Amino acid sequence: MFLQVLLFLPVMSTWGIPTWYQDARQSFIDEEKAMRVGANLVLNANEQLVNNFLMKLKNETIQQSIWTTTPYPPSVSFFKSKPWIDNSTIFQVIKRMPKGGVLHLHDSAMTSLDWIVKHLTYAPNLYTRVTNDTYPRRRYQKNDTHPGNDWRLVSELRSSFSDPNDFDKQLVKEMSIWVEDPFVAYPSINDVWKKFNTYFTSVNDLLNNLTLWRSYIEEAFREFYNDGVQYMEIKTGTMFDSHGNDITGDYMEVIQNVTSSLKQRHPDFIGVKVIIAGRRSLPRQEPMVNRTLALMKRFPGLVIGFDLLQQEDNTHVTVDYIDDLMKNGHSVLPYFFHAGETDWTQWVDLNLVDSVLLNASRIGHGFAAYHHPKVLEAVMKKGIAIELNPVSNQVLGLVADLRNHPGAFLIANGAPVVISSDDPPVWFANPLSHDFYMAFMALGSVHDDLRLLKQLAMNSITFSSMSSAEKVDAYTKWQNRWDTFIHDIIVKYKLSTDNSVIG
Amino acid sequence: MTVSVQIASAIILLVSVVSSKPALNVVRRDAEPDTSGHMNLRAQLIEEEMKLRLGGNLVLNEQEQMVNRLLLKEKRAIIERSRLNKTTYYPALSFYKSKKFVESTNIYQIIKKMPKGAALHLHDLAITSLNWVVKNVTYRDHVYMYYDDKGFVHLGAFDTPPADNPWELVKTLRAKAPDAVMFDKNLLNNISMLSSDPLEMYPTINLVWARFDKYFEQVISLLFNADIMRDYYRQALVEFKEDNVQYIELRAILSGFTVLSGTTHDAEFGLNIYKQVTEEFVRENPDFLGAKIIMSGLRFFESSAIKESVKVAKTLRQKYPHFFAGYDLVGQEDPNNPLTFYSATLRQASKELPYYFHAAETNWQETDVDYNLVDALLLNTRRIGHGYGISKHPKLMEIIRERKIAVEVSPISNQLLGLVSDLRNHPMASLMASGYPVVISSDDPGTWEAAPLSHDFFMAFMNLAGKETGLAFLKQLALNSFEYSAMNRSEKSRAKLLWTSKWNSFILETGLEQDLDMKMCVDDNRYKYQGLTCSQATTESSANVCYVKEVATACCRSCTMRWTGMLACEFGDRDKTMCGQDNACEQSANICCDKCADTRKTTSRSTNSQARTYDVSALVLAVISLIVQCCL
Repeated sequence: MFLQVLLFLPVMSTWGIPTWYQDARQSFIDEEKAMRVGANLVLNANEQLVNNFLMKLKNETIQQSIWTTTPYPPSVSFFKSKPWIDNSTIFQVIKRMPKGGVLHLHDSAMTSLDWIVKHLTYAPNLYTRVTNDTYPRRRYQKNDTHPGNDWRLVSELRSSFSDPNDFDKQLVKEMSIWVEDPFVAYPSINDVWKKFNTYFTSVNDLLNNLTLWRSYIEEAFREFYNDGVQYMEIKTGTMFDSHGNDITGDYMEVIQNVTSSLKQRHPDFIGVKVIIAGRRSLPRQEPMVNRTLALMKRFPGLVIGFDLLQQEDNTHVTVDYIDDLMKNGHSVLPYFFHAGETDWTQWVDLNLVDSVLLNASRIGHGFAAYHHPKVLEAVMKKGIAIELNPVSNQVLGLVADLRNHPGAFLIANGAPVVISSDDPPVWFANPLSHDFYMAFMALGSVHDDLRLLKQLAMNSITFSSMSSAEKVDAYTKWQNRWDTFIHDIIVKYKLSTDNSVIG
Repeated sequence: MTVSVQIASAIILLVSVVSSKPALNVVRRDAEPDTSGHMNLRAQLIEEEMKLRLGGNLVLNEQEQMVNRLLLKEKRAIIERSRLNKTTYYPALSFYKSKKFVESTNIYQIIKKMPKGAALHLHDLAITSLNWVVKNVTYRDHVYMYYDDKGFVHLGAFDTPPADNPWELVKTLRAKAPDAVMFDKNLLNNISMLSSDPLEMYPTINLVWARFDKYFEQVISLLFNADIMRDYYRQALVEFKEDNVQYIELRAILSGFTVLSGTTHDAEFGLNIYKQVTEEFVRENPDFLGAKIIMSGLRFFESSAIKESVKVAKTLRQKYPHFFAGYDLVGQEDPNNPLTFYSATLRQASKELPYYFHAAETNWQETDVDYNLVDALLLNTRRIGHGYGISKHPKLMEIIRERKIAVEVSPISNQLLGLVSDLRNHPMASLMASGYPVVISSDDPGTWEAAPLSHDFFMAFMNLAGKETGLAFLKQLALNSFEYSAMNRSEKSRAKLLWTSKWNSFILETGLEQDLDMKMCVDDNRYKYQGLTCSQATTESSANVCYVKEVATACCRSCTMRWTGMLACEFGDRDKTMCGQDNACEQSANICCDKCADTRKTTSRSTNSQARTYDVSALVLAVISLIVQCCL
């Protein structure tokens, strides 16, 4: 990355700029470079080959958009840029890259919509109907008898299409928030959230028993593993069966079983942990906090803490629950709060202040953190990682051009950050690769290179909730895969010192 | 990095001083005893952040607080409405979509009347309303137009138009048109960038800049006519004054003005156009402070051409030290030459020529253009134009704070020229949250039919500041605009005096107009201070008598008019004679609190935050007691 600067220095000196000026200029630049996320890493010879290759591609993409009217992919809606990104070599490389863990992920939005439709809507006796709303909500119900007038059998509907795939495609499209023109379809952040919430209604109708959950979780872990993710911390609510019994414990066992069978098949899969999440629309959190405490006792090492979710802008703020979250002046649980997932300042974003004061282990999104100097101070000093979900923030209406994402500011300051993906299938994103692509191309600077990506992957282990011993094991497993990845890329793209120098 | 972060995590963050102030804006059940510690720390942290914000150190007097409450009430209502009804937040939308809404708000009407100080980032060919150009200039003899192959109108003023394009007299065309009103409307829409939504019409930065550059092509032959520019610039001053702006600094190209006969003139001729019009305008409007010129070279010039233009600038700076403020380079940064390209020339002149560089008007991090920030600072720039990329440069941010180099932020320009869509994402919001030196300006308001400065002030207030940030923010922006202007010390203190009295009448008038239940304070007519009536006793040069409790009480209104809002310096220097001496700041900086404001600021920054908190709260108490005695 210094190469370019070094290249034009000799040219500049011929313009008559004194050395002290150049030195002063360079020392400013170097001092700031040294602060950036990934700046302390040193790449070995093989990594440098891959790095040069990657930076050449990155530079080409950037130059093209500086000099032509081609839009820069991260600057436009993901709905428009996805096909461009998917076709790019940079994305192909990032897809193969071992990205460590995903630390901010909701359990009902992990598996590709194709899989959900192909595997869950083919159940016998599955009825469906669409409720009329601004954004239609598709309900499902499994029933031996016809549940009512406006309900139709899914199998009948499907057979009314000449090609059943067309019907499935329609179901997939309905579930996602994907539209041609998001600015027109969703004029405000609240509109896109309304649509976003319909996904959860449909998916929860479909995933209504533990057997289905089991196959869903199996598929989810498989998809993440194939996308270069070796470790997951997933957020879940409590689960009840059709008789209203709390079966969250059984669900935890399912997660444990699926994890260990995946580990048997893929010894380099590191593991899964669970964060229990309360809903910000409820008036109290005490029952949830107590349930989380019980689950942590029953599943030590699996259940690690508590979060609060739902759209922050128009639900309860964290401080409303302070009596439930603190006992005897101390936090009851390890917290992983969503906080500051908002464009507002001095309002719901004050959730950030409570997260810091409640000793949160990490902060979910923290989009508003850069309006809060004192929060940032704490984040830096205490090493509270901020979970950045760039694609989610864009499609859910917080920011248009991802180069304006506050994560860019955090990366420039070397703040503790991890990259995650929130609810990737809802907008047809890969489990983690698209978010890593955005981190590399938009949150990082034009010179940020493989070291940024590598540091982000390492951060996901450092800032995970694994024990020290688990982390040591995790690093080893990740490092092995990383070395293989570097080797594979060199072979696949036939990289050698001769043809991969930055042009 | 990760290791050091974790070691540092052992360091306890918060000062353990427990404040007894209640939490702000929190409606909740009574805290159980074991959470009170949290609530106190929370309130303290929020308050500390409030103090760090732009304007966080200003103290508002009772009248100002009334206006503040009024502003905040509507601000909160607009924000809450968007929350409760789950609807669009209009102020953050494209200016094309938000303009009507903005103008319908009471906040905008108040901001319009507010004396906003100075507009420091403006460009010569885009400062006057297009409506005036169409209704006035295009009605003149010798004004020609033609449509180019893309359908854009080009205007020009000639004795005989050149043969290169199918120029026709506007007068003739208008007479031929079926409807003259429609003709004028079409003309305006053809030139204005706001005839459609630029964010939708021009989805990439290069496309929107092509349109923006087209605007200048459309008007350049017209406005580079010396006579027309005289009137155009004069009209700009009229409009800025009407928009309650007291002073401007204008980036101008200066050379190349023509007269109808076809003669082309040099930069000094151009400078004198602005100078004569300014002087004449200030003579007629003594409450307008004037203007200064920042000469602009173009970023795509050969270095030899910049060398030449810097040479001219140096001469002009020497000859017109009061009117000619300095030098800048203009034009879209991304595809043009970075400052380093010219830095040999620029560095040589940097001792004699003050710079006001555009830098990092870009979304890219660490490109040459982003590094224009580094060069601008190394070349001793006095301010930074746009500086959009600076929030991603922690070291450079430290420098601008230390050296008091203000960033000129033009929110609407940044939005319409494709840097940011939702204005709440504007990166300068973070600098404002930490009280960095920032001024608000409007760049090219004429191009997109914005008010001279009010729309940009509104956008800053509603989008770049938090929900609970009120009048103090706006007041600080106005104060900053003088502080960071190119005026010299005496010009600044004159400006501040004029502005202060304007500000105080604005507050009183707003209170009356808005029917606020202000406990209006009045002067006691029978009261005499050393034989003088209240208004005689409290002149600009004797405002310090208001520090005398008895005077403040009896001359409530007069003293309110002298209120500066500066912390611990509410009525300026405390001893005019002592503070007149040269070494006053070494001896008695606290007494000469206005004169020595710079020194005082430096020292207060170096003290630790705990001491500062104590200091501030004691002063706040003192001031409040003064207000209570004075105004209740």
